[in-house]
Amino acid sequence: MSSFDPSRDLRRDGVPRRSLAVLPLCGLLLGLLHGLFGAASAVAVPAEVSAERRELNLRTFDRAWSIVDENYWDPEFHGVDWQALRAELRPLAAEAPDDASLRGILEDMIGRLGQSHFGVIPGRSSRRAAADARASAAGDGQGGDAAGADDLPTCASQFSEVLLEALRADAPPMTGASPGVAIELTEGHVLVERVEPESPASEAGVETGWELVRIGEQPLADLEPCLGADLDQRAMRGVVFRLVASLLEGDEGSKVELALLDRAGDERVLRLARELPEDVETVRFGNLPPVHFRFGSERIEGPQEIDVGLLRFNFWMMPVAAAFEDAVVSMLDADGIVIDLRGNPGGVAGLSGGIAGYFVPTAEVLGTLQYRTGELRLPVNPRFVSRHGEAIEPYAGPVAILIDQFSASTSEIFAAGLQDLGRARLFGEASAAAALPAVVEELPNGDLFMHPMADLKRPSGGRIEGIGVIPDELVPVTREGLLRGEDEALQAALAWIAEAAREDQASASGAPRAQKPSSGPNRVGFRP
Amino acid sequence: MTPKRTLAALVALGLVVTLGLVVAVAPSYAQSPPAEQIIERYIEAVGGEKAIREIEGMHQTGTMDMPSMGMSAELEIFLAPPNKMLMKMSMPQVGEINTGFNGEIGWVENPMTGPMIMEGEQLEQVMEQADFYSDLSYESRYATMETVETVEFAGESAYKVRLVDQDGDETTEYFSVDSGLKIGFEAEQTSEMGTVMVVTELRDYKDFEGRMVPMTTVAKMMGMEMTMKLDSVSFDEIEPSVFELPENVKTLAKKVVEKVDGENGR
Repeated sequence: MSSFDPSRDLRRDGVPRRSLAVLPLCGLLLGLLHGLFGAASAVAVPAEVSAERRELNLRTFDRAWSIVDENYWDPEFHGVDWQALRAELRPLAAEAPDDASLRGILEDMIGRLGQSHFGVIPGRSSRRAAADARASAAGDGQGGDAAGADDLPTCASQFSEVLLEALRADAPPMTGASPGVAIELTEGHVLVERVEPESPASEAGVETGWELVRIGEQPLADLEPCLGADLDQRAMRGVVFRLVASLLEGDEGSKVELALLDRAGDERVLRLARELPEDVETVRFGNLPPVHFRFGSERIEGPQEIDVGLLRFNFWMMPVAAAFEDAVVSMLDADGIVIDLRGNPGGVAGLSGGIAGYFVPTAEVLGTLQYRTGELRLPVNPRFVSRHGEAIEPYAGPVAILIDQFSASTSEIFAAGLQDLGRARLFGEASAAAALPAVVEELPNGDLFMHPMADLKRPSGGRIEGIGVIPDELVPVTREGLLRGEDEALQAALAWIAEAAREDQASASGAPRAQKPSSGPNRVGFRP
Repeated sequence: MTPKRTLAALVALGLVVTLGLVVAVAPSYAQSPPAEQIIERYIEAVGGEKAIREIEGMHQTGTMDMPSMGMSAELEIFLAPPNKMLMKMSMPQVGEINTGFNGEIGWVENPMTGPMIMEGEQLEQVMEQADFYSDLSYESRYATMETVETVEFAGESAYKVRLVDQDGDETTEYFSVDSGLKIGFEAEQTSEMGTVMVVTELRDYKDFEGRMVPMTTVAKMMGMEMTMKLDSVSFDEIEPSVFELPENVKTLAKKVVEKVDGENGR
């Protein structure tokens, strides 16, 4: 067990959590691009398209429209006249000159429903075409902007060509390789939230709390209208922020120039290499784009010498199942467990019930999926046996979950479920408010269409979509806290666990919460 | 021995949802034979009762695809009389998902959720699915059997037969007017996630020395489609050890028994 020192263990042992969390996966990014670009691309209609292109456009449009028409859980489409929308947009779709323009029209269509987890992901052929176009544009010095600047939100006028390119979702640089800084958004300012140990950023002396004012050619200070707290759509703010964070990533070995304001307010310009952390695992699941999965756990000592297990993972993907079990089984004798889901954008919802089962001893439900034709449950599977066949008991001690404005989808389902079941206390910021079960289907033109299959109700009956999960203890990230090297949400969680431990001792029951494990590896690397 | 049992097992894994499929044409009530006769003809069409009772076991291999999800799996299914079943599904991005019934305990082993012992309706369902001679026990399984009409199902003229079991649960099956083979069914399937209506097509029957087996099964539910294709079928006796509980399921089953005994004060 390591001794607890937030300034050392929790801040400087950071990882590029934000930069890793570029997420076509959960739909927060792709599903909301329509909000920025929907109408924009729809107006980019050329004089003529070929008959072949028109036929492909119509087949693609009709397929996407029909998928929603036949499956969307609300048969009233939230008051949107779905038939009229088809009549309005189909002629525009027919005349789209290319897949990018057609995507804009489709994004406009699904954007009218105002829900997350809708998105049109460029297929392989579209990505190739976009790359060719970029290469061509780079050769002649042109930007190749398919959308008129007038059609973008006000703040987008400050977007660099690189960010515009990322916004078009043709090729967000999701490589997993970064300089080793994780960023946080506070009142419109982009702050260094973590610095990966032994990373290029760490070696260059970057500290938490420094403000990032430029990444490459993209000035960040001017993005405040897109990143500020007063923006109506919290989720859109998340989209823009994640795109900004994605600029930190690039090919392994490439370099990116960062301009930062240090604690004295002096600007420092650093040119840092992008490195791929050793513990990154590239994971695929079905039609979803690959993601760079990381998991970390450790035992820390908190106030009053409490012994706490700390777990963090950046996506809900298959490797988390085994890694989480190994870690949590080794923590069954801890005074408390903290699960850090900050920045975790979601993933495979089916994993949530299995993970929850390590903390819930009875058959419960994390949420209910309401389809148009019925409903399904997300059940908790209480864990009484490890995958190695060893008898275990669900952890019975206090469980804290850390969430923030970028915790989305499955992270929200899990956190809300355990909160409603009275099995966890939540600390941090309100979550992203984007939690709908979605699938990704291929369209006739090869693009991928992500669409939510159902609405989701939490155990208490409320929705998460558009509302978010509200922590029991709101602990916003502050620059002052970051400059002090403190993780204020974690500190609040540890204080609560310490209080619970004190009360536990006071009750003098003395009974162990759960049997101690006979073995259990404790994966490190992606250290919380 | 239709793929009903394997499909239901897949549903039990939470991988399927529902969608209506049947394209009803103008119903034809004339000359539709009674349900009992349709089922008798079906039994004969798949090889006859004698051939079914002579089978000592069944081993199938194949693939399962969910194109809408971009997911696929390799399947291996073991069946043995009177009521044992094991289905192994290996998905490259998920791992091995196994479902079984050893004659007493129904279980699921899923790397996503961990092992589970089936209870209640889910257990009843897996028991029914593991019934090796279920095709021969329509009369005992169903309180009511009636031919509803002649319809077109999956592009083929079919007798639509409504079946209601002793608990009042309803299933609809479709039998080809031409061949007498069962070409589809609509039934509720229960998993730990709940109950969904699944519409299933049975296609591409192949003759294995007088025993007809559908090599393709397409299940549609809640807007998603799943296709199972068999590439091998054999009727050899299955080694009993195949149906033994995996170690973690064995441990879990013991825990469940202890828990139940504890609750009952034993």
